[in-house]
Amino acid sequence: MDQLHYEEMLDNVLELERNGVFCGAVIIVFGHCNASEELIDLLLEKGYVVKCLLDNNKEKQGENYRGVPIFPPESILDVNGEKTIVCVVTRFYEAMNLQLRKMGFTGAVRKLIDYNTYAEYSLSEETIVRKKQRVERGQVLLTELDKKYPESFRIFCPFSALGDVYIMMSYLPYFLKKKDAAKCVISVVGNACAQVIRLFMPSISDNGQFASVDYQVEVYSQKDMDEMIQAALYIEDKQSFIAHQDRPYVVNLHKALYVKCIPLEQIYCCGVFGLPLGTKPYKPANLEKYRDIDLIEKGNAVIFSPYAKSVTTFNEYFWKEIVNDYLQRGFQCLTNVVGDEKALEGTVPISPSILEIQSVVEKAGHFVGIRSGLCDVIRYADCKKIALYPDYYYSDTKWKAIDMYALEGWENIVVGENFKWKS
Amino acid sequence: MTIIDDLKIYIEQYDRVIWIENDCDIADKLMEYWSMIQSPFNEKECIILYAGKKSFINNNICECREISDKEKEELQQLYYLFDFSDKFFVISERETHGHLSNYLDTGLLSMEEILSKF
Repeated sequence: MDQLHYEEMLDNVLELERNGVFCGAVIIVFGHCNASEELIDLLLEKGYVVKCLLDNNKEKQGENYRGVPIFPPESILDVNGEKTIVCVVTRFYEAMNLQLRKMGFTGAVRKLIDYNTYAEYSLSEETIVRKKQRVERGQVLLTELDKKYPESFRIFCPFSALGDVYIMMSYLPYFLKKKDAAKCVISVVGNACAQVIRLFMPSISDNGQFASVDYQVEVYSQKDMDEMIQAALYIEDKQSFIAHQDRPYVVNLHKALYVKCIPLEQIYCCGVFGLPLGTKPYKPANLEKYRDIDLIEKGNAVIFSPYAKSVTTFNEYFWKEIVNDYLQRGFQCLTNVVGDEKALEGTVPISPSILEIQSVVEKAGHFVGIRSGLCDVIRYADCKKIALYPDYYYSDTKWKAIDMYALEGWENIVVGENFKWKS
Repeated sequence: MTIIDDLKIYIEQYDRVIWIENDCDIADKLMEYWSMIQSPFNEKECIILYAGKKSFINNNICECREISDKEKEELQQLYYLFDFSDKFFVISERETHGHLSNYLDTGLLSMEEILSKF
């Protein structure tokens, strides 16, 4: 989870505490994901007991997170009542709330992070008026964007996820050619995603047949992005395209995953852009050398990447074993950190930019990380690369993370219950 | 009664409200498929809303209702204003985003595969 969402969750938890909502309450979390694990961490840290996690995915039921069992949603009825509070930190709050109400649950259901501003399951006049105002705000932003970049085709990346933006960029030039677009402005959430766009710029602009395309990047807050996208949908803006595989709600590409496992890369290539299977992805070319590259021991260093935004992470004991192994073998050990993330014990923190990270791992010679968007950013780096996959199911499908995200040329390892690190 | 009033009732009454926004290959094929398998829906499970004449209305797939052009416009304005229900499904091929039909066109999925789980 990113810092802004974490702070939003923390603020909401503190407010519930101030209002005495948790006092004597049965606390339940609905939806097992990275964010709900962070919420459970927070609640346990504060000394609360979390009775259970609810999840609709049958494959997850019966498992647990830090001793908190995962049950089917129907089990809520065993503790139904005013003193039960269900906390939701996924984008499916509206659907989850409705599901619980239909079952007859009478306790509180609280949204602790507003991950999805598109959804509100109500057709009241008040809601519709509010949503119209939201679209009007989006239209103002669209007009401003149009004025700043006249005659440009608009690409929207609705969510701040490096991996999605990276793969999107790998295929975008082909799509723009289909659209006959000479100019393009790509809107993203957050500076990290903007850097991913910039990674590709020279390769896109300088590559033969696409040399004439003028690419620009604009960075927005999540709220502004959502409002602009909603406006583009509302007015059916033919100059706008939402380049994402499952956001916002109008995109139904994920339904195909109920039938067949389609790796993320193919979802973008074929599903999002409608390009033929086997289309060759563009590679980033705007790579920069890390400013302190001399501090890294050539071929005898390892870069760890233990953090991920939307994936359930591994605990410190897990990493300790791996770090110790490399330390014992005489490697220089470094952890890639962003913001206030902490380096793994026994390692040195390092914070190269997105444009610089490939130079770092190539000099180090070794990379070990949880499978996150950062792995996409360095997917072609010339070094030994190990991606670790938590043993979880992708969304509500029967496919595992490794089925969706496996990387060619990497050592892809699933971290299951009996996982043992081998050097 | 406006289409919004009707929608409120449909969302309450049915498990799914399917709206065929525009004529597209996948909509025609889906209706053909559902009629061939003698409808995947139980009574009162689903209602299909559509504008204009459609050949599938006699196939007893499920309850179907023809809506007027004005209602279609109101429905469009509402659906693209916000996500108001997880029971409301739209079959459409707007150019603002990717569609399931792209999988067909690119050969990643067959029509059978798409239709079987739609």
